Amino acid sequence: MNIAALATYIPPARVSIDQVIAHRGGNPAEARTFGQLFGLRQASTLANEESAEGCFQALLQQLAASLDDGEQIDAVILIQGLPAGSWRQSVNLAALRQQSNVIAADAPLLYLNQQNCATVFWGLRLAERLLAGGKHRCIALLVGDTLADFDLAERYVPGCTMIGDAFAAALLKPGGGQRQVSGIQCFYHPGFWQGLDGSREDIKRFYQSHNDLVAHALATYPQDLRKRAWLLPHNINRLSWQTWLRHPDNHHQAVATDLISDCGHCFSADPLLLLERYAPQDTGRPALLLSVGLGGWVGCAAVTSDASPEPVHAQ
Amino acid sequence: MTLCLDPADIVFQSFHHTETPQPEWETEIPHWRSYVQHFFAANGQALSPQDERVPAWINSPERAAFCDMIAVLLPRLAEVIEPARVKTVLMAHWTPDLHMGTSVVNAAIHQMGLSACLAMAISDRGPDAALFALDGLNDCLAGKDEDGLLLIAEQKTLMYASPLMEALQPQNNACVCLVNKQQRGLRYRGFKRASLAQWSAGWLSQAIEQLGLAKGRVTLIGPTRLLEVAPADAHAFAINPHLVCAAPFVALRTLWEPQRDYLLISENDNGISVCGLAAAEGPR
Repeated sequence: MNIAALATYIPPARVSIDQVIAHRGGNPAEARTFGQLFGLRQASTLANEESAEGCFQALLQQLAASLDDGEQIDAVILIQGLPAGSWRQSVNLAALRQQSNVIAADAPLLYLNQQNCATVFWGLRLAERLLAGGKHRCIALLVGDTLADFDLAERYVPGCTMIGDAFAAALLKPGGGQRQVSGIQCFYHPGFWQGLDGSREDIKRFYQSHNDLVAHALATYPQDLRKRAWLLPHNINRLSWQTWLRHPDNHHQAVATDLISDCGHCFSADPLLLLERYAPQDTGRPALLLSVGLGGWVGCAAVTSDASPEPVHAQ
Repeated sequence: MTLCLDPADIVFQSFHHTETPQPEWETEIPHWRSYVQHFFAANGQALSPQDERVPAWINSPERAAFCDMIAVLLPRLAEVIEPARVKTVLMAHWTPDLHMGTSVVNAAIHQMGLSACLAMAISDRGPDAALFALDGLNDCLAGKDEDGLLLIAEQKTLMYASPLMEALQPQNNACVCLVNKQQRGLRYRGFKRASLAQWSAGWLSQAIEQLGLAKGRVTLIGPTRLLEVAPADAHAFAINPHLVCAAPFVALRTLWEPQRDYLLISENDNGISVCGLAAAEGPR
């Protein structure tokens, strides 16, 4: 399976960590400490007139330019990860299909939301299965969440992250190419079943397991691939990745963390936002996409360019 | 191999509460108010202030969470559950869980020490969700020598006024069924749907025949008003509607007698669902 086209949108508007923490009743000192420790200084947000559906509509138009004459999108998979619904978060896929002249009228419209940021990997796996079935040739994967309808305080997860809004759309086709996706892994660790509802202790135990969950997921790839690859992970916070890099096994791993301070943790979209900026055909290196979701959901996938050697098969 | 359900492998309980409100929870009222208002907006509806029940939801003395109720029931099946044989766990409910953000199926998988499970919930369907899930287990286990778990739970405390739930008066309750491929108990014979207009003595008689149940010894288990079409001499038992999705399974566990076949009947917005279960032995 190849990502034949990829378009992303990080809204230009930002809210600062000071504003967000002030809405939670915190003071500037708390904001400063959080910003310095976790590397999260601002979060991207939809402007008043923007919505998830509008963003996906614009991204689909960009993708349409890459379609061959007469080629149509024959399935749409929408991926969201935030558990709370709202007016601008909700996406009417039937309306999107009707407005678009590139989505087949009979294209199935599928929605996945496992209420955590790793849901995108379940979407990639679903697309891979649909394409392997032979009935579908061109699938649009729409990925992204917004918290813009809620109070700013909801963007802040103390001791962990700040949530931003961003969106990505990918056209998935069978075969190889510049962004060949392989080794898609979807893990769940049922011991973290408490998820968002966990006690402070449960959530602390989950955070403390972050490195182990990442190691478990990445162990499915050959060592040489791991060494060469850019790791494109969820923007949970900079400290998590600094801690992870300190481990002797990870010292030499290249990890893309530059979006963390720019837009925050854009939930399900993070790995795809990074893939556009660290495309294997540009970096000359494979990419490993990875998200670790609260509740013990972990997903990862390798993306390689035809120009680089062998596609990856998970062990 | 046929999917089987031994009525002895059904456990159930009603609960008054599983947790006691704590004073500090009141600080979360604005968060949940915002959540429920946006939840309505996302579905194209407005929630009026008089229909919002967040403080009552937070402070209710009858708070019962699905995972806590299921956790009480699972040990009662520990003797019959063989962890290595269970790789499918389906959850069925109609009322929303009290806790948002927990995974009830993962809690069960963790508690019972299962691994590599396919697990999911059937939600927002109606009171027939557990019959639908039983049929789903039959599909998931087709061609496999494995067992499966059916988890069912309902609870009464909502963040908003709901005329539907006020009419239904759901009880806090849960039910767990172990289904097996070891030919123990009743044989699963299939799932059928009827529209409300189709529902009649004729349809019922045909369904019993098509599901391979013996007319002379079938017991009907369903909502009172749906049983009205059954012949006067039929063996029919009304379910307790306040148990919602678990109701037919609770009735089956309570009423079961050897040598009888069972037709479990339930409904949702669009019609009526039935599942057939046949006695293990006896002439067909």
